[in-house]
Amino acid sequence: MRWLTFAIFVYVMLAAEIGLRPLVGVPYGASFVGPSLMLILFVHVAMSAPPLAVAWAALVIGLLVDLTHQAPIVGPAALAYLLGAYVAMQLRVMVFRDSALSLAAMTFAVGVFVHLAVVFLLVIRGLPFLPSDPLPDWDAPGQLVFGFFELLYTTAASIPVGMLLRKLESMWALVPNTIGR
Amino acid sequence: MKPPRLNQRRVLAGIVLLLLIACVLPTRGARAVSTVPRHLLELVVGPVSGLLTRLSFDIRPGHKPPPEARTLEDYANMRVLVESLQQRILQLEQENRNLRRIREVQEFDGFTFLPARVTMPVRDPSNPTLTIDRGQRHGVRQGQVVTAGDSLFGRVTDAGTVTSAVRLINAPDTRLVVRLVPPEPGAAAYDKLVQVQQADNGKAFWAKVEADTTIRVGDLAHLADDAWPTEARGFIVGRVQRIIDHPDWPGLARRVIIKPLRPLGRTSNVIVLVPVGAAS
Repeated sequence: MRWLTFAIFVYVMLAAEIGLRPLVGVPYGASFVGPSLMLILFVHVAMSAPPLAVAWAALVIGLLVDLTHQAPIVGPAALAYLLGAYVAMQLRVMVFRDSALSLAAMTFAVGVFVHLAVVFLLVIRGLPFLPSDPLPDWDAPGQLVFGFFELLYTTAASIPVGMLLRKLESMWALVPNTIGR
Repeated sequence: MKPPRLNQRRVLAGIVLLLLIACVLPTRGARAVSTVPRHLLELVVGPVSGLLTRLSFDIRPGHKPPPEARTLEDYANMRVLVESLQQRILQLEQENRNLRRIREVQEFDGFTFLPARVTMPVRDPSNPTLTIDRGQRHGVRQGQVVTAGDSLFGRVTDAGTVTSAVRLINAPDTRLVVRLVPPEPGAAAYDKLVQVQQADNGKAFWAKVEADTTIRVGDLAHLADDAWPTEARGFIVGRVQRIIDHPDWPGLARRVIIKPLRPLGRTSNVIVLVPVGAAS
């Protein structure tokens, strides 16, 4: 995998995810439910790249997601994306890599694990034997509902975005996935 | 031959361990760890995301703008435009009156109004915080008041070199004390102060008032909270939208629903009140 291409795509997708959210997002309280382009990009990489490259990509994307959220905690999304990398590598041998619907299905499946893992890691901060303290005015049910709507939107958006990424795949030099590799 | 001590898998495992520790750090420690990389990221991504944010708000503004002249094709559309412009003039006159009223009770001689643009809109509804393109280099410091026109918008929670995080007033834990004032010029404010809190997932506020209160729909809620800096007092928190019976004290108390004049999460331009000495 070409890491320079990855870096350019990450930059563009991150800026677009943040900047275009008021345009394409559905108002939800003071924020917007919008597609997570970073999740789509990650699943696109995870469907084809070598396992170690998928893990590094998960770490980079997860850290960026952590830093763009205004909660001061770094780590939940990075670890959740690593879990997502594991899930994606288990699932990718079962799907047709070239299909946009496969990408959508993978995005939904991986997204469920990522969102649940983030919520879990933030919930355990409130456990009494840990040095951490619960985040002020953060509620898990509200976050799960928001995450669910965001995941639905992301899954729908993954079809056109995935097709676009497929068109540009020659830039990536991703290694084709083969069973038993 | 021995395998190398430091390979990618081991480095990855080490990073995972560090991230697990970072996840359970106390909030203060976690903030210290994340502040520098967050500001760096905002510095790198901010110019492009800010551009796209402005574009997004231009295409899909938070409040309805008058229709563009180029889209008008006939006289009927032109009349719509004229009516909407007249409506806009009325809105601006009202905003001007509100600002004059704020000016009467508030002295801003020691402050500069620093315009700022939103570069990263709110992402997490349970933590309504956004990023603006002004930071310590421009005189912005933690705790400063942020407004949008005549409306109170929030406070700076974290000031980086060229960007800052602003927490909106509709955060879940926010309690604001307001004074309700009829919108007519020269009308006297009601005697009692009212505490409002967030409602409807951040879209509105609610307050409990006595049943015999004379508060009316359309009254403006001006900040009168001692916990806020003096320069913030007088700015508008919202407008009374509905007055209903309080579900817990029917007949004894009423619930006042107050809605911000503009959707807080959908504002692209704000103003930071910066002390004169601090502004660059």
